Amino acid sequence: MNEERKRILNMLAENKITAEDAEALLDAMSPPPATGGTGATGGGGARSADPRYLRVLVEDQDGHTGKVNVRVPFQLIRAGVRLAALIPVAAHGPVNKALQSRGIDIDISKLKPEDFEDLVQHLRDLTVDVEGTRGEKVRVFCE
Amino acid sequence: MTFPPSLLRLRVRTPEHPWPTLWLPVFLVWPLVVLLLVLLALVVLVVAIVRDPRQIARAFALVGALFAVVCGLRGVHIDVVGRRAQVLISFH
Repeated sequence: MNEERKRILNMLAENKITAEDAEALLDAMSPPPATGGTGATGGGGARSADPRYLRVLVEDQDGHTGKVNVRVPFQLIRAGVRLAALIPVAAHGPVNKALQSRGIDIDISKLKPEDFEDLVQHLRDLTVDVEGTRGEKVRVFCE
Repeated sequence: MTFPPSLLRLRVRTPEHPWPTLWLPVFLVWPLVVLLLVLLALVVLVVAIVRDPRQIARAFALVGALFAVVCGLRGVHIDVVGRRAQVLISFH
């Protein structure tokens, strides 16, 4: 339970606010159910829908040059994981080695579609916000 | 159920070549993709029967996964603006 929610319930217990007021306040705290949002401000209200896209935004300080705006549907990533799960066991070693030679240190034998669903659920609240020394901004989030 | 992308928006712009944005009707190649998938499924079936009949289910799962990848392209949006060029690839 987060702090704001606890405070509202305490106020209700101390009869400082009515039950209707408490309900209105709790509703106001909950994120809108259909928007999905970036999850950065999720305050422990109702669980929003699973994210549909992974977004990567890169902007320079002026916001015009060197701009990157990428949106990848989770459905595509999910299909890729399904495809990776079908790679024959004998090919896992060479594939892992090829990935490692490109700096990607993952073991594809551990990629399971069912694990991916858990990952997507937890990614709902992910927001990566990085600002570089020259003013460039990188944002990675789900929506 | 999801469907493969219907339209592809493509834009490649450089100072020398300011091409307009192209809206490509990808749905026109759907029949071709379906035909290729059916042919691929037949080939996979024959190869699986000849080599290892126990792998038939896995082989069809592979065809299904490939189709899921094609369907998953709907919604992909890549927009990169560099100092000298701009590239936009967007599936709808």
